[in-house]
This record gives sequence, structure tokens and C-alpha cells, in this order.
Amino acid sequence: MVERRPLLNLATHLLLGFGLLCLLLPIWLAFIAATQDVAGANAVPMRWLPGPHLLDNLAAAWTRADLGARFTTSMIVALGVMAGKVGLAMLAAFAIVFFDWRAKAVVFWLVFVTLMLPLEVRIVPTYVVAANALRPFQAILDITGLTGLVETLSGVRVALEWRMLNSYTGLILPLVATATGTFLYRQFFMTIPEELVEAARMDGAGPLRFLRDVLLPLSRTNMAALATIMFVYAWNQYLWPLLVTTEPQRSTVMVELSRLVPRGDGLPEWNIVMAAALTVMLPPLAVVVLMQRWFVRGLVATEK
Amino acid sequence: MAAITLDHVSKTYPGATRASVDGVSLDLPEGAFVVVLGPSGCGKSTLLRMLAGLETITGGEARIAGRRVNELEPKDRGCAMVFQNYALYPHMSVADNIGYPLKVAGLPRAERAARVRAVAESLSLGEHLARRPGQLSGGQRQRVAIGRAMVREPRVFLFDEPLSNLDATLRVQMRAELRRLHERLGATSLLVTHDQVEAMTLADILVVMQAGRVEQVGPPRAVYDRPETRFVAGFLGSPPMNLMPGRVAGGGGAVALEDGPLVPLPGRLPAGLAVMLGIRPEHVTEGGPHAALVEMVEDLGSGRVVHARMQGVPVTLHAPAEATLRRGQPLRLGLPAARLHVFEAESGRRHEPAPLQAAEAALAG
Repeated sequence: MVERRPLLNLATHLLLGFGLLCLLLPIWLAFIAATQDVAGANAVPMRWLPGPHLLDNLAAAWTRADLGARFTTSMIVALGVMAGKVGLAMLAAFAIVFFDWRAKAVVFWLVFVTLMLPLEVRIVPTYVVAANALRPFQAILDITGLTGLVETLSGVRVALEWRMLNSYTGLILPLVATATGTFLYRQFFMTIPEELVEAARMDGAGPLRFLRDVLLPLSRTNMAALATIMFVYAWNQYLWPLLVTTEPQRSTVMVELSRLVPRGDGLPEWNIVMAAALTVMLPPLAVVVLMQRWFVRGLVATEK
Repeated sequence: MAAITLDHVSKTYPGATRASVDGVSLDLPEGAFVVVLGPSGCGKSTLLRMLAGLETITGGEARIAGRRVNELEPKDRGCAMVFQNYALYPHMSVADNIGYPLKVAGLPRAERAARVRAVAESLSLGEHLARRPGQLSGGQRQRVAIGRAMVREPRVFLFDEPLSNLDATLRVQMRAELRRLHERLGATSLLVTHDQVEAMTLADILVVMQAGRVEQVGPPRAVYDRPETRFVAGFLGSPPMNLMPGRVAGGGGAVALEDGPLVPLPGRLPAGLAVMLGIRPEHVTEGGPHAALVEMVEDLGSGRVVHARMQGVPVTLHAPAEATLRRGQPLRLGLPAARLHVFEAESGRRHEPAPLQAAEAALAG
């Protein structure tokens, strides 16, 4: 369709330009603050042009927040969530779309319901489970009286425990267990023609072979999209790492960043905070830029 | 030994009240090209898919080369299938597509490559081996799909409406190519289609199906010349056979058409029997005892199809291209007795009039 409406075009571009400005302005301000000294960062009126202290501030932020070690932790968590999610979501969607089994509808709706219960909503029960992942099983044993039975019979007290606090497992697993990726895959898998599945069966490929040889290569763009989203999501997590890591040497970059923010009567070193913030922004930015080509294709178009 | 035996094979989908395939029994000889023809929804694809192992058989038994296959996985049945939409793996090259069944079977790379090359050459796909399916034309994709089926050297080829996605010219080409291929490979082929030209030209054995049942089995010529049921008579042939309701009259030697003339039969039938009288358009002659009016003329290039009305009865007939027939023009028609088909109105079964002499002799005796 060809449209020639110069006024509408102008208005749209003005609106888009305004949106872009709203998006970039805070980042510009953060950059300006990161280039000032303490006085400059807190000056009234605000400064709009960069000062000479960027490198000093970056170095100070790096050492003060122990960013080297924190980056490693965050990177492991983000990559772990990303890989776990891409794999788990794919297998889950594979089971839901390509197999007929009795509990299929129930499982599908259970997964669907978790979309309405994000981590923030169920943070307390999730924390309890992270503190001892086997606690639900222990509860079942206690209630059914099996614990008592085993104790009287063998003299051994059953006490199941798997602590996940202050561990990578605890940081990663609860973030992996959400339904978003499953649905992305499900939508894509449903576009795969039935004939292709049948052709693979005729060719003698079993389910796992079909997954590996056909579905996996076909869903590369989806995987890239999901991986990008999950990396950024995991990198930006704040509440969960804050709760689950009590030891400073285990905390993530986001938690550490918040510790830099001046509180009470401390020195308002916003220049350092902003320099740290800029550094922390870099990895997700790099991932998005690198994956952009795949990412957009995976979300928008179905490759023919 | 029969290559494929179907013994009262049925399929009833869960929750359905009627069987989609209802007790089909067939014996198909080794090396035959069998075409299953029927209108959409008659169960012909379901039958094929049951044989392939893509649908479970809910009743009866299917045997391939004497072996019961009901419970076998598709890959263990010795069948290869060509799908309507080709079902090529879009991310694999032509060579990988053709070689995939061999790869799954675990053949060494060198042997795989040799066999893929041989198959591709025989389908003149040699120079396209590195391309993706998306870069090929419809006919080429079809050939890749056939190649993927051929490379396993199966005992039975199953074709599920393989030509229906091609344009008219290509369809004629591929039809001939399928037939040549069949002759060269010597395997048994089973092709499902709703296109009667395809069925007539390809088949050694034609199976006509309707509503889950087999209506007639036989060589295409025999099925065309001597349809066993009214359905087969009306389904096979273009334009379709004239089917005119009437009642046996004149002492059993003729049929009085409803709102039409009395048509003499080549033999005798029980008088008073309600029948459908059939005659193919190409057998209706111009010039004869029955007065008719031209209602419409269709030009086919090679000839014309004339729609006429004989009193109240519509009749179509073939006329030569030179014929100067116009709408409203009167003409006289002949319905040669030897070309007539008689079907019982109620059951739709064919009725063979008893030969005159024999009947007369019986009466005299």
C-alpha cells in the first residue's frame, strides 16, 4: 500500500523523536554525571556538558564496588539463566506441542497459570523453597506419618535438606522456572506443518532426532531472541539476588550497584554511582547489539 | 504374492459416529501402480496413512509382503511416502534432504553421498544438490520429495495427492515422469488422488472409494467401460455420464424415462423396476429417434460439449468442433442400446439386461 500523507508523516516522526529523546536523556544525564567530580555532579543548576573526570570515576567505581568479581558472578548467573531457559523452554514446548498424553491439557494450563504469578508475587514461598528445596517432600512425609514410621522402624530420622541460599543454583533456578520462553517456542512449534513431522517419522527419525535435526535448526532465531531477553532479564534482576545472597562475595553486580548509592549523611558521590551504572549497562548492551539481527527476526517474522 | 493386503481395514476416529474407512479389503499385486480415487473426505488419504503407519488401524489387518504391519513403526514397514506439500526440510540442502533417511539409518558418509548422487542424477537434480528447497521450483521440490522416498529403496511407494500443488502443464509432465519412474523401479506404488485424469492415466489398478467404502476395483479401462455402481458411473468421466431416472417398461425390453421418451434396452429386465439409465456423452449420437433442443454449447477447442433437453430430460453429448449448433436449435438424438448402462435406482448397483436371445429362448422353452 502506498500512502502519501506528508502531515501525518511529520507528526509521526515528531512523536518518534520525542520518544527517543525521553529514552536517551536519562542516559545522557548519567553520562554527564559520570564525567564530573563530586561537586560537579551535585551542582545546581544541572550541568549538560561532559567534564574531565570520567576515567577517574570509572576506576574508583571499579575498585570500590569490586566490580571485577561481581561481573563474574553476574555473568555466570545471566548465562546460566539464559542457557537453562532456552533448553528447558524448548523441551517443555516440545512435549506440549508434539506429544499426545493424558495430562497434556492440565500441564499446559499449569504452565500457563505461572505466567500470572511472577517471581515478585510469590517471593516468600520461593525463598522458603530455596532455603530447603526438599521441604515440600519433607512436609508430605511428615503429614502422611511416614517420617514417624521410618524412625520407629529403623531409628533413622528422615530430614531432607537441600539449601540453595548463597549458591549459583539458588540464584539461577528460580529465574529459569517461568513460562515465558515455553510460550514463545510453543507458538513457533505450532507453525511447523504436520507433514514435516510425519515426513521425519517416515524417514525413521525418533522424537529426539527430530528435535535435534529439524526443530533445533529451524528455531535458531527464536532461540536467539529468547536468549537475548533472558540474558538482559537475568542481568537486571535485583530483588531475588538481594534476598538469596547474604554473603557479599556472592552478590551480583546489581545488588552491589545499589550499595554504592549514597544513603543518609554519606558523601553524595553520584559521579561514582553513575560511572558504575554505565559500566554495568555494557554487557546487556553488547548482547543486544550482537544478537539484534537474529533477535528481531525471531520475534517478528516467521522465516520461510 | 500380494505386495499389499488389506483385510477389512477400518478407521473410526475417537468420538466419531461413522467410520472414516469402513472395512476395506484389497489385494494389490507386486509391482502394480494402484491409484485410489474418490471425492474429498471419502477416506482415501486415511487409508494411505494407515498403511504408512501415520494413523492407527482401528479394525482389520494390513499386510505388506505377507507381514502384518498394524503395530509396526512407519520406518519398519518398508514404505516411503511423498506428501502433498512435499514436506521438505527447509533448512537442509537438496542433498541433505534426500540423504536424511540414510543418515538416520546410520549409513557411512561416503556411501550416503554416492546413493544421493545416483538418485539425484536419475531425477535430473544433479546440479541443484547444494540448494535449499526454498530456491527450487514446484516441480523440482516434488522431485526432491520423490528422491527422498527413492533413496531408501522401499518396497512400497505411497503418494498422497503428489501432483495437486503443481500447475496444469507441470502436472502433465510429472504424471508421465511418475509413470516412467514406476516402470524403472518396479516397486509397488499406491497413489491417492481426486483427479480422475491422473487416476485413468497412471493406474494399472484403479480403486474407487466413496464414504469410506470401496466402490469398485479394476483396470481403469474396465472401470470406465463397465462401472459397477451409479456412483462410479457419475464420478468417472468428464463431462460426467448422463444419468436419467426411469422405469422398465415395454415388457422389460425398454426404459420409460421420467418425463422423457421410451429407450429400448439391449436385453430384458424385470418390468416395472425403477432404474437409472446411463450413457456417456461420447456415446450419444446425433441423428436418431429422439427429438431434443440445444440448450447450451461449450467449446473445448478439440470438440464441443452440447447440453440438450430431450423432452424433460437433460442430456449432454460430444459434438465435433465443426458442428454448427446454436442455442434453441432442434436436433435428433440416438441412444445406442449397446452403450447403455442400467443401475437399480434403489441400491445403485449395476443391472445387466439378460441377452434377448437367451431370454426369448427361456420363454419359449
